[in-house]
Amino acid sequence: MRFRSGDSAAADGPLTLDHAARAARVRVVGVSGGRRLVHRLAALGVVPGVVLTVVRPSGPALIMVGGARIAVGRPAAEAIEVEAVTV
Amino acid sequence: MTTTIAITGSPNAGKTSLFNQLTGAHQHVGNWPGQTVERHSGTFTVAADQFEIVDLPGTYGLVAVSAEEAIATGYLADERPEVVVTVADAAHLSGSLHLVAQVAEAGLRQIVALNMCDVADRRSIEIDDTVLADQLGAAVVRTVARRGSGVDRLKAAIADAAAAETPAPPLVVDYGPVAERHLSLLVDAVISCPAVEDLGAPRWIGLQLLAGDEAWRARVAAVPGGNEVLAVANTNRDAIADETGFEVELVLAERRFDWISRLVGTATGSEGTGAVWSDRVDRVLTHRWLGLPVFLAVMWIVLQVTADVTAPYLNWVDAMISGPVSRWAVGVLGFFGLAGGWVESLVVDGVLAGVGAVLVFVPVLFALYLMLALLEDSGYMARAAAVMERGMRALGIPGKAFLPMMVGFGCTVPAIYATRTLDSSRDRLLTGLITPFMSCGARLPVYVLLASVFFAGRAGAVVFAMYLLGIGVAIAVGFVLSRTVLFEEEPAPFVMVMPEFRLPNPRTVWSLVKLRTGEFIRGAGTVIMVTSVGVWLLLSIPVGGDGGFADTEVEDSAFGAASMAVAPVMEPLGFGEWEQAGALFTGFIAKEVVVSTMAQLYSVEEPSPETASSSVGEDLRKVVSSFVTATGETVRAIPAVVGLDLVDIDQEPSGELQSAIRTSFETSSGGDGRLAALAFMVFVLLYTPCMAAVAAFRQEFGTKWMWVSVIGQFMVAWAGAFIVFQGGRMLGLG
Repeated sequence: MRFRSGDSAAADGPLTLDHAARAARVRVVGVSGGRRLVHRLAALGVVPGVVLTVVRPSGPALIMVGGARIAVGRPAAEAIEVEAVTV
Repeated sequence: MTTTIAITGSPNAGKTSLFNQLTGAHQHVGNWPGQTVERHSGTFTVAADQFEIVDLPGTYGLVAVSAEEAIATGYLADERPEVVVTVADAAHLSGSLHLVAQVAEAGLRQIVALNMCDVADRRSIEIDDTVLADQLGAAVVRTVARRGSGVDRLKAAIADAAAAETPAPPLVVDYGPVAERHLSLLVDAVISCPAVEDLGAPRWIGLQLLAGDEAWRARVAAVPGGNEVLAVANTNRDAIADETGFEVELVLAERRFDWISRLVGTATGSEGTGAVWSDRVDRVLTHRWLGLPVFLAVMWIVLQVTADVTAPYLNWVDAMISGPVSRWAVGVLGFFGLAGGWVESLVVDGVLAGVGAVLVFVPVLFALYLMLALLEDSGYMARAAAVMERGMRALGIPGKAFLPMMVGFGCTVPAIYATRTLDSSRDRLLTGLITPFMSCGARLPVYVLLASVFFAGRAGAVVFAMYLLGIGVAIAVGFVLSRTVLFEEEPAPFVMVMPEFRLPNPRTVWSLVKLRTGEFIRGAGTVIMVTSVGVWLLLSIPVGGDGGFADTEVEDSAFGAASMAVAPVMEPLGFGEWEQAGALFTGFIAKEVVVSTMAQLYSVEEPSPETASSSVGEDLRKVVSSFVTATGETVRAIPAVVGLDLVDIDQEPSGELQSAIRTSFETSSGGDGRLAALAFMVFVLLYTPCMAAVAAFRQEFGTKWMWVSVIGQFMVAWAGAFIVFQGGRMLGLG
């Protein structure tokens, strides 16, 4: 099952959390992956439109969202599609 | 009349602390997501009204992702408690409101306990509770559960809510034009089917069906007409996905989170951010490479504290039981004219020998549980799980399996139950099968005893090696299982909240240590007492020779006969003597009794030494003075943890038991006593932890898997011991 916004996928593929820059602010644009992952992320506030801070993009990824710090394993980080937020 | 209410909240919001404050019960409170597994309940009264409160497992929302969350969501859906107290973390309001909003949408009468207000205040997060209360349609009470403030107001709010006549109107969140149109079609279908409508608020049922919640689908499918409603749900699910280009789960989550963000925006000025220093610490602690040495260093300190620092107390308790306490018991029996007969034998050789051999290790377990509680309460445990995720997943083991495995260092039974924190039944089973290989506290006494006899001076290193071997075997078995029987294409995602670092709360740590140590002592008082007395009975029943009851040679007893039957199986492992087989035999019942059985078997072989008579007064003086000495030695042993060896605590083993064990292993192995002892330790590490663990396993995974687990462990243990003993011999070690 795919959970994503169809039009956000550019030709070279969308940026995923594991490729985001350290300390970057990024906006979630989609989540691809199983239903369990989507529900878990949704409950923690990681849904399309939300802006999060990337403490570290991988190994495991660490993100700050809504004041909470969340560790995200690599497969899940690869499933979170983001776009850079320009301040 | 008693009113039943439930308390819920996301993990680490302080739910269990608040539950303790409400009921006065002391319970386990930890710091990793999904800690509370069992359903605890307690009672309290407000004026004349009696309330029963059920502590539900922590959950982030009402769509269950893990089995543990399913317990909480299932309870709320099926029992529909009259009042639900939802604990929200004031310092992370938006993270907590997901659950709060869903409870309100479900039409449950809710009280929001805005907890950790002190942390929010420190971060200058101002929350307007009237806005919250108004928007959510729920009473909001500020609390600081760790200090107990706000608890009386919470009780009063619960009593008010329970007394309210009108039902709570469900919260309505706007899910956008497309979803709302399809939702209303589905709600119509729900309302037209009375059996489904009876299950709860129609809009809520519709939402849960749209979201694809498995539990709700099953609940609806089970009632008459339910399948028609499900068909309508499926049609509308597909339609929403087609029209929006998003899957339904994302559409609903996005709109709900929008609603939450707006609420947080109006109720608070701005949302605080976590501490910067905490980010830096987390970058190191959860770092791919840096995190691992930190983790190993922490484990090393934990094991050193439990093995070495407590040693003087261990010796003190041992000396007390075998000395003064046994003398006093004989004295008391003599007063009643029972000295010298089978009653004295039962008390001294059965009861005191058994319980005594367990009690000597209470200091060890106390220290172990203290260290684990400090790790949990400080927030380090979750970091350790994050560090382990990457490497463990590569080996086919989910990172979250690390939590039960870590608990397994304490005791396998809670570790088996802790597998419920994993997200899928496959991950749970895999973790359940490998967790018993983690060396539990009850196995430690066996290593300590044998290592002190055969590896004096290096006992700590040998014990540490056993722990590492347990981890290694667990990983190897997990690797094999994940690629064979339990192969899966799509592993569960690793997403875990890192709780705030905080100074461990002495009260929380103390109650946790007390609870766990108490459990061990109660175990010692029941299972182990029964076993010890049972073994004494088997030892007392003659099946050969010419002795009478309680007056027979061990090899002529029922126990001797049974052990001799088992012994040949162990012969290739270097410990084929029937006493050794007998000790392992009783280890099936509880690992703690391996040592006490040895104590019993070896001491009953020779006449018990005449104890020098001494007065009660002298004994008491000795009890106190030796305790003071032990305390002094412990204090001096603490620097040894970090490598400063101020005092030699690895004393040359002495005493009857030690020399009997040495002789026995040297004989059984044909001179390679050390190898045989090592093989014995490996066997003890790897075979069935105990009856209680098997019972827990059966409860969680069923009888079939229980047998797979028991037989598999025996085979692994036998093979492991065989490799150590025969391999060691071949290499000329010994």
